[in-house]
Amino acid sequence: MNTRERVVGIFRDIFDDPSLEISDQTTAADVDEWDSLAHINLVVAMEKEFKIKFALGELQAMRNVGDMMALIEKKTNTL
Amino acid sequence: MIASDLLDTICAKNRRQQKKLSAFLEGTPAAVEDLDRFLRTYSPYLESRGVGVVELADAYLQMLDEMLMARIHFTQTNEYPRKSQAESLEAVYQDPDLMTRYMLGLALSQFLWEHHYRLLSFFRRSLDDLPSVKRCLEVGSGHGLYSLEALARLPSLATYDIVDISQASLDMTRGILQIIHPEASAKISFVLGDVGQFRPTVAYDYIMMGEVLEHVEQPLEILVSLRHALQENGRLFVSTCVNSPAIDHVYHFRSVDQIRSLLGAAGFVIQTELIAPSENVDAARLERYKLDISYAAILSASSEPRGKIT
Repeated sequence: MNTRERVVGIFRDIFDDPSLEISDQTTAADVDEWDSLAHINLVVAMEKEFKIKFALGELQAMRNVGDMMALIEKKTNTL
Repeated sequence: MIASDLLDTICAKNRRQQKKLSAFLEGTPAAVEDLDRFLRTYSPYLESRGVGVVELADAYLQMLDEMLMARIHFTQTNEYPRKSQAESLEAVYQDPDLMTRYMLGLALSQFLWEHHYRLLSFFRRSLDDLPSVKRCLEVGSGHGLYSLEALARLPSLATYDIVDISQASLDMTRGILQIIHPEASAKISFVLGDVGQFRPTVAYDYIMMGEVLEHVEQPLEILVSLRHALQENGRLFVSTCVNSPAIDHVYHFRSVDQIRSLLGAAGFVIQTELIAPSENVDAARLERYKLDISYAAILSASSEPRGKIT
């Protein structure tokens, strides 16, 4: 699976919705259940799945799922 | 500065906060009115420090981000990020800019977060039940909000001692009180130091210690010393939290029962208490995700402390 497929899989698992559709432009405003707890669970799951650590500045700079995926790609390609 | 401007600024910068704040504040107009009063009260202090709407919103959001990182660490390790008071002192309390920002964010949370607003309401009611308090000790004034409430609601206050480990917190509290209550603040004794080393010279009929126990390594020792500082019929207000990682939290309370046991071991009787989970979820979800629970109690001194937690 590529990065996008793995990220979408995590979103579907965290929000318990196998049909959840995510795009690069998706933000917390687009997903009803995306609250602080879900956000933390997403970050923890991403870090575990991709074996990376997000810095505070990186999390603050993320505006949407596209930014998240780009950062994951960057971090995993430099490993 | 008015509440709507501040809320609009916060929500524009953070969509998750927009959801959370809307859910609480739309159903609790009293909290918005209270926030307005708070901002009006603090405005002279904020203006004197060059803190406008944007700076205040940023302080709140920065606090949230730091709590997010602490919560991520906690989720992964089941431990608070800080291991000792010395770590907190070096990383947080001795950084005046960070502390000022952090305290402003926490002050706002008293009105923006339902569980903190419930704590504040509980504290206010406790003061209203004690109009004849003459000698008050406050441990950990932090943002000064509770100090303001004490001065407003304790008309018979003759002695008011405030102990805080952070110079920035004392400066903020003193700065606010000097503006709002210039005469009363002149009589307040501000003591910089660790409450563990504080040796009171009087017995107090009211002690308030909000959000301190989770910051210290030996909360039982602190409580025992405060029990000895309390007059026979005195009351102690205490608040703390369960499963609440933060940049300066050291002692991890894992349950409300653990807190109650500690209070009993220190020789206190719980007169009334408040348990306020941070999220409106069922107990199973609260436990599964180890979500924050705020706890507050009004205590009276009982017999000699057992000295151990059972």
